[in-house]
Amino acid sequence: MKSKILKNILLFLAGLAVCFICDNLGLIKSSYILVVEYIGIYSIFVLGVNVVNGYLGIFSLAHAGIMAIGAYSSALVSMYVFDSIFTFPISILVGGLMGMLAGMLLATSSFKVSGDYLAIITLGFSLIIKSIVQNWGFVGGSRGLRPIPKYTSLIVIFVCLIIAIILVNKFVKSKYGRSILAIRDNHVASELVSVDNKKCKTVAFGLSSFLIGISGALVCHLLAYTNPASYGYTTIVDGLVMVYLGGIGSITGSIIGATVWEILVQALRGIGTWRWVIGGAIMVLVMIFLPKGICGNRELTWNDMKRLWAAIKEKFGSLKAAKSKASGKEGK
Amino acid sequence: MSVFVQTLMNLLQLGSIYALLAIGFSIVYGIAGLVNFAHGEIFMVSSYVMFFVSSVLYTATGVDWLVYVFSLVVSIVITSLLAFVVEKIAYKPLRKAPKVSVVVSSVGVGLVLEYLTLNFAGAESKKMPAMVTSVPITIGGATIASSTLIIIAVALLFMIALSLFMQKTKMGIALRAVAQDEKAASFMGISPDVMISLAFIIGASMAAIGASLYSVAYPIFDPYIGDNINWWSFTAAVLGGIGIMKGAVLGGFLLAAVNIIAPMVLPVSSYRDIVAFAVLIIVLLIKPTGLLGKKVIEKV
Amino acid sequence: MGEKVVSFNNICMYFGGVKAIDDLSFSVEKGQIFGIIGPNGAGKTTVFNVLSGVYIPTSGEVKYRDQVLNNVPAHKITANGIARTFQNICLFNDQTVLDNLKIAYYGHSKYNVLDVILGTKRFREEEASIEKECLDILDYLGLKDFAAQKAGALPYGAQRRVELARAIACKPEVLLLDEPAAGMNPAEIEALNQLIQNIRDHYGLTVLLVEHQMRLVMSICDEILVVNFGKKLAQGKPHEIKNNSDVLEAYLGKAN
Repeated sequence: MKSKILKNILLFLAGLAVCFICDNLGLIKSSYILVVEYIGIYSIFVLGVNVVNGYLGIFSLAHAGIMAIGAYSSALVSMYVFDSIFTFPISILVGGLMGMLAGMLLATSSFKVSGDYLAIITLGFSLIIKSIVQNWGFVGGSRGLRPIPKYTSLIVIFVCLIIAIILVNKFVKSKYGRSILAIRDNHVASELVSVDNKKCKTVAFGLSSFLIGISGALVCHLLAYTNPASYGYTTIVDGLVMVYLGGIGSITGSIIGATVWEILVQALRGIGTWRWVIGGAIMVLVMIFLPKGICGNRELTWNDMKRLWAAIKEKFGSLKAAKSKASGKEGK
Repeated sequence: MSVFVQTLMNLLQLGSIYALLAIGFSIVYGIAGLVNFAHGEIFMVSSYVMFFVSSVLYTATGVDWLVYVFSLVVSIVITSLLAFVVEKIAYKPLRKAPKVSVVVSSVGVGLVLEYLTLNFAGAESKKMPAMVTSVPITIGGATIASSTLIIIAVALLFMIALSLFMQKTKMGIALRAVAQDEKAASFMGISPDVMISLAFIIGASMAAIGASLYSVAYPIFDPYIGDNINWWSFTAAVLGGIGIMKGAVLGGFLLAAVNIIAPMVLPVSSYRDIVAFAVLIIVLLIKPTGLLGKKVIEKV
Repeated sequence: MGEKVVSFNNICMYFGGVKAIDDLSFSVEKGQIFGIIGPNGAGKTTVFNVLSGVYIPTSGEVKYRDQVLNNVPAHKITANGIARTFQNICLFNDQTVLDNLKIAYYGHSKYNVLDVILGTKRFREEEASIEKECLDILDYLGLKDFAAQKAGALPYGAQRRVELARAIACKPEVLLLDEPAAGMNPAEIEALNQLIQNIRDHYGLTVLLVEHQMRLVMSICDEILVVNFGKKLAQGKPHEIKNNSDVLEAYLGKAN
């Protein structure tokens, strides 16, 4: 046990060191670093969305609205209250907490309403938040809020991501995690084995929105501005794709989903709006062929990686053998 | 008095259109059991089809309403075909999957339709040619465009026709049977596959008709209108109770009432979205399955 | 006369025009195995659903000891001492057998969200004791080997026992068993007979049993309630019920 904790701490420090080097020594092209930063931020975002959409199994479209709340509230703190990089953690925390409060309020709507009706309420929530910030002069209206201090860096994202992973892991391994999986499976039976559905849903929404709020805080301090357009259907769809692509109910799946989608988006950047045609097609195909996502509801482990590597080597080897056999025959 | 009549006419016009949209969406939900996030995009595509057909014909002939009817028919045919194909490719394979999968898939379909249209037809707004000549009519001291009355009449016509179809014809009864209990219906010799495809075709047709009427009142459109149409269709259908035809009509008019009256009472017109949403939440909190929805008793 | 643990006082359960339960009254004493029998659709499972809080009775009073259960939420009823199994197995199929049992400890758990985040001693100790207690229950029911398997993957008989184990994990005083012998052959029913009595003695339970298998009911029950059309048809000891003409008529029809 002790050696495991030591190993984790060493890995963490190594990660910090790598981030520090990338941030400050200019060895890697900044556009690549930007992609990695996006992957980090969206991993946190997807972890958050996954808690409700994946583990709890509620089809919620509220994540765009929550992200907006996290972004705008944290930006306001950095711009008007504490504007030093050393108080950035406070801004991030405010973003997370404001998101969490909104999420816990939203949870109450899931007590009586379910399924498709609930999906539409959560969609409405996101649209309303967007509508509010769009019409509120104080936060810049349609033009958005700027200039936001550029405090987000790889180190900050890395630390936040590690915290996010730890939080979700602890949650899943606790009575709350077990309970929301039970609620997802059969919400009448869960109550009849003593689970307080309302409380568990509230905790789940709270954790989910906390993480989504943090991701909002991080992204707006990376771009140095934020505007309502960032929190519309595009973000809603992005969140859904990443969760269902990576794997509902899986931490590694969340990160993989974020990574694959972000890389896809960057790679398809050259083809402009066609990326949405491809993105939409991917969603349909993933639903048909990979209904539980790349990871399913398991975590990706070192064993899986080793087996995948072995399978690849075997395939490669057999291809080589077939090729040499064919050319051998030809020679004759 | 004239303000009252004006408002009433606007309400009836918008309500009729919303009702058609909600009906189309509700039929698919009731029979295929799925929230079709591509409904708005099908509406949008039908607008474009009608636009292209009518633009070509308008210059050729001179007769307005003939062009309108013809391009509407073409639009219905093409849109229904599109819905049929989409159902076979993106929804049928997911018949046995959890509901969420189909919804996500429908979001994907919506994206594909939206951005394909964008890339082929361009992002700029288009204006539908005015095919229905409108003369001002005076009722109760208010001046109303005759097109408003035509829209209301046509919408009402199709709603009644659909209702008769569902109640009186063999196919309509078969559709309602599948909506109630798919398995039992299949034991009776009704093919759910056929019925679900039919439901999609009807849904698409309602969207196409709704789009054509919408374009008479609001002729400007672009590839992005689908998102708003989705929201209005869902909200209207949910307000009245998803899957219930009368509910869709009720929800449609209720939503229209909110959208028309709110800007008259509130300072900023963009707050009407918030009001509509608030109304939706309140209705659902009181009646979690919509105004006319049935309560589902869950047993173990 | 034993202490009354569960009582139904003039309970009516109406669904619109359907009278699922019509003015039903009975009480169960501590330590009894109390059987509820009746033709299909008589309202037996509805009794369980009212007792466990799935339905709120239209009128009448449900009592657990001194507590009136009428408007208590189902999860509180379970946490306070009434647990049940289901006619159709309702296990959480995607989770392991062990986790299925751990979930049942929710009602008795003391730690909160902060404990989870900070990994406090209270959290760690409670999780450890939950695990131990659940494994003990699985062991008692011969299910220890299945602990790490997904509940949905088990054979039918094992699933039924896991559901029983999960109900026990709720730490109840009263156990409601809904047709536990469904789909069993005579040998299995005999084993079930023994098991129910062992559990009752080992865990100090009072058991209510809805069943169709007459041999099991007659042999194991201390008292039997017969319901038909939601009303009480008869109540008494097994030998009294066996010879009751109303009961025979309800099951077999009028003799000409």
